[in-house]
Amino acid sequence: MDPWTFWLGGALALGGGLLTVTRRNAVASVMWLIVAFVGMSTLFLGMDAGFIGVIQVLVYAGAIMVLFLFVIMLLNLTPSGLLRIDRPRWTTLGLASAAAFVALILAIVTGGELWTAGGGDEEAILQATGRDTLIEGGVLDVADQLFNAHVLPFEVASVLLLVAVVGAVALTKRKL
Amino acid sequence: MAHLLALSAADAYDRAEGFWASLYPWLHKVFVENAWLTAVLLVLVVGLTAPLLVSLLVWCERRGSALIQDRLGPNRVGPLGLFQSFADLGKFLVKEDVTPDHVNKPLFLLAPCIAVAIPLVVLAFIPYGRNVWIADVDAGILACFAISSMHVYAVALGGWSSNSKFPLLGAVRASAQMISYEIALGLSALAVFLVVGSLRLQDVVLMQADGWVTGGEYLGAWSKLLDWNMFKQPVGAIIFLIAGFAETNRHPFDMPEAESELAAGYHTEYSSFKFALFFLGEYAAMIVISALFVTLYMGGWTLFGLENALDGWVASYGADNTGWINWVAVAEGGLHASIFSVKTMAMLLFFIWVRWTLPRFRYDQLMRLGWVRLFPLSLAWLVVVAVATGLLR
Repeated sequence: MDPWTFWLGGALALGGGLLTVTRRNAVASVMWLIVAFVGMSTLFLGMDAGFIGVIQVLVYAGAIMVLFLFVIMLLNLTPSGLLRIDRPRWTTLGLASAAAFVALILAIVTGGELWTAGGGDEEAILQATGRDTLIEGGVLDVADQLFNAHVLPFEVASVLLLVAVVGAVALTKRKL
Repeated sequence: MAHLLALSAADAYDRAEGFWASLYPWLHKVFVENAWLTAVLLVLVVGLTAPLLVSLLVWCERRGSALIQDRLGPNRVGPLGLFQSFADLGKFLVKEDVTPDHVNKPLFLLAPCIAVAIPLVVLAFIPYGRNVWIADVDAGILACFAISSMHVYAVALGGWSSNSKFPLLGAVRASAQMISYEIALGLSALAVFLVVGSLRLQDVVLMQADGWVTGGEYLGAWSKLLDWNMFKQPVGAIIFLIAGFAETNRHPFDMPEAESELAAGYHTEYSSFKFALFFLGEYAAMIVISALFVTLYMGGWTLFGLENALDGWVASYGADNTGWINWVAVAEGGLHASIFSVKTMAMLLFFIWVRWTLPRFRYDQLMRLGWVRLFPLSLAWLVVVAVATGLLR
């Protein structure tokens, strides 16, 4: 990846994420979360994963966050109406879960084949994963993986989502 | 795009003298070694053409509405009143810019900026000719949808940050409307890409000129017209068009700014140039949806073989890179871009025509049309196209 892309995307993602959790105003939080998503999309694009990068913006920044904003606007959330989480117990719990999350990520990344294979060296990764070529991030490559190699998990996930949709309709509709 | 402004430094260096001799290698360096600079030039051209087109469009809208309603419309400033938009622009610039006290200032300022920026960015993904494009992205249509899906923030934030009733109601209506119709819009476009087998917009354009529909001796030249997706996928095209009207908040779906109910809707509190930006953004979004429709359903920059008129010329002179601008390539690009512009302009006039012909929907009708009619219809059409594509393959 181009270093500039990395630093720009990283700064947007981290800065946006940090401002998301520190803003008092819920709408401002949503806006900064969108910035964070755009930053992550930049990182995906920098890694030649064009499809994931575009989907990141299309689904998260463009659709899900609109619903967030919609709900916040409808409820008319004010800073005073928000739950204050500056009590010591909450802080301790938050820090503990953050530390656990970081530890988990580190364990996955350092314990996996990719890390031991020399972080980014193409030949080494191919050798470690036993593939002939690296999987590219284009639409066709992603579709090929999704509908051939991983079609069962894909279908299971879509059934799960369908159940969630039906559940949401059943919960909100008073008279079916 | 890189070869549009191609030059060969060695040849030019031999022929030129003095000042030019020192300039040519520099130009060579700039335009050939940095191909992105040509892209930047094109970005400037597109980015400046769009607002100019908007001012022309506003004139068309006002004169067109006058024609439809049997009155004159603005006819004082310049020939036929053509400069009226520029006079209005001057007014927007000099009028007092009122920012109410009760607004959320950063977001109040951000909303009109988003309104203009998003449509202009989407214009970067559209192919204007065989070699005239800014970004030829692999997932072209997805990128278009991804960027334009963020256009709703302009409306939502503008309405919310105004901190007053009518704008908020307008914003809530607009967000619900844009999310609802985005689905039908995406699904109808998906049917096109199912047939093409690629998400690249350039491939869609070329597919519509590949002569798949032959028609033989009965249809003759008309078969080339039938090769447009508009005729191959009539249902998808109509759904895309209707959803496009709703996405751009145009009549008959201009609920977010229904004057009789919501004053001016989400931009009620905006004045002066901030209002002008919303105005510009709305028309730019119209240009984007028209350009997308032309690309997806009306053959893009192709026109029954006219786009190949310069092919012979390009073949014999196209490689002549002795100047620092390849005029043959520029002429070809100009021809393609002109064809594209004429088609887009026709679509824009259609948008205006519809606005002054149809009455406005009621909001519940709008929602029912989106979710109960268009959404299932576009899904069904997708299945039909998928089955047909599978059988024909």
